Amino acid sequence: MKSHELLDLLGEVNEDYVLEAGNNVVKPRFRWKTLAACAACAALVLGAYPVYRAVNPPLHEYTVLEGGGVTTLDNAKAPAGGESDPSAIPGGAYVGDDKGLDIDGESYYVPGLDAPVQEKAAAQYDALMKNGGINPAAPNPDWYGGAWIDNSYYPEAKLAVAIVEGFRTPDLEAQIEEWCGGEYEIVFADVKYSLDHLYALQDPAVDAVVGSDGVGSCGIGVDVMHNCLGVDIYGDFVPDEVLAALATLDPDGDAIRVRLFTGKLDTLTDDMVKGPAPVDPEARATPAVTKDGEPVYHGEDAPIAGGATQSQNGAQTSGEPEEGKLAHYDLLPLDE
Amino acid sequence: MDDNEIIARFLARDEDAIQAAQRQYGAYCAAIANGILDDPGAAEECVNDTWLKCWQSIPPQHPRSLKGFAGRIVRNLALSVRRADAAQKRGGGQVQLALDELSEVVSGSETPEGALDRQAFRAALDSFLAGLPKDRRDLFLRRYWYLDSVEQLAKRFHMSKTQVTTTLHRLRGKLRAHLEQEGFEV
Repeated sequence: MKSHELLDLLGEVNEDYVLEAGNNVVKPRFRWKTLAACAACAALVLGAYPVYRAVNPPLHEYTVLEGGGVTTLDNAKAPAGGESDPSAIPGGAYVGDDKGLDIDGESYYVPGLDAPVQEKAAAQYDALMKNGGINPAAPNPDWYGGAWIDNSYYPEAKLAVAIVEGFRTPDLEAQIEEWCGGEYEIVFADVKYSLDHLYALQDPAVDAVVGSDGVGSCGIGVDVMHNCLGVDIYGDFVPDEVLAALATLDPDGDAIRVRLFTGKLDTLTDDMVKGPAPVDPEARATPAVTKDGEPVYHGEDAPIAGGATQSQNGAQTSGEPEEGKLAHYDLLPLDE
Repeated sequence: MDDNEIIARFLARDEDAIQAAQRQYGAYCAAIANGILDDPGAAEECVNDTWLKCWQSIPPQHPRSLKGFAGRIVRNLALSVRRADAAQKRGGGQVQLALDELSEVVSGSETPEGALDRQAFRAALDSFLAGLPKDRRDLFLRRYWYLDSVEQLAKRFHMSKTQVTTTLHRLRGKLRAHLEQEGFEV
């Protein structure tokens, strides 16, 4: 049979089937298997994620600074945590005519300019505390992000007041200026976190860090000028459990600043110093040997010149040098 | 106007029957012819010839369904035109592809005149189609009766082209087995 004959004969099949096929409208199949597979995958992912997160919690970022707690003028590599005295005015006294070695061992020198006058700013700060009802140790308004003396203005430092984002209005600025006496200019800064929020992080952060076995010493305190809680850790590493706890406290990763200061603790000065680890006095060096494997003698262990030696031909010689011959030394040269 | 009324007019030799059939099934027949010929002009000629054939065939025939009857006529007419085109090397389109596919089912040798019992063969084809699930039967007929392309079938049946090709291949195999089982030496 030829294929065209079959094609013709197919044209004569039951017309009911033909009409059915002509009217055929196929609805898209609901793909149960695909849907079930997708649902299973989704369930697996959703179920596995908490388990994965429990096993691998998110870790807080941290910065490693070599050289320990050497304080530089701009405070760039010094621990900022540890503003221990809440009554102290952040910003501190101006330091000038300073020189020395920075933490990288390079010398620095800052010319001794006259310190900017801080009296007015300090008076404004006190007035703000008093009139604005602000106390570093007590609950503060939600808008208050902190205040400090900004020494970057010369010859007269200015009071800087941080206002939490969303609260800053001309009315509030005017109110703050009024609290501060209204006589001198105030610098306003926008910050993300209120001071109380940062204070609230302090105790949990202390618990997280101090409770860890892996942390030797640390400094924790609110850094008002950087609008964060400074957590400075001294040691060789930051345990993951600490970073995980801090990440839980600070999901956005910008309310807590973690810094690891590596270096060795000078037990005399309690300062961190750079340099190789001290040699363990109990550790004994391996005796040096020559290329032939013979021990190298020096100091008291070295044979005394003129002692009993072995002659070239193997005969034992006496302790005294033969007349007319030089004593034979068996000291071997030290390797490089 | 429904099927029975149009057929009644054909039987009564009422020339309005042609207009009525044209209105009712013109688009359907044009779709079949276009699918085979891929040439709107030639397809229109086939459709016009279809109504003429209907006029000549009814009576004496009294079709159960005018749609099915007209559809079969237009298919045969379009296939004839296509064969004439193929003889003149004007390409075969879907018809040639379908013939190539159906050559898997048949031997390709000439069937001696009168050797094939067409009635029995049609019955075997019907029983083959009756044994298929509806979606498979529709797919088979859309390919080998309406001569839809694989792309059109994939779209209509929400299948990939590979799935369509594979399914048709299996159906051809089943058809061959069925015909052999029915005693036909295809």
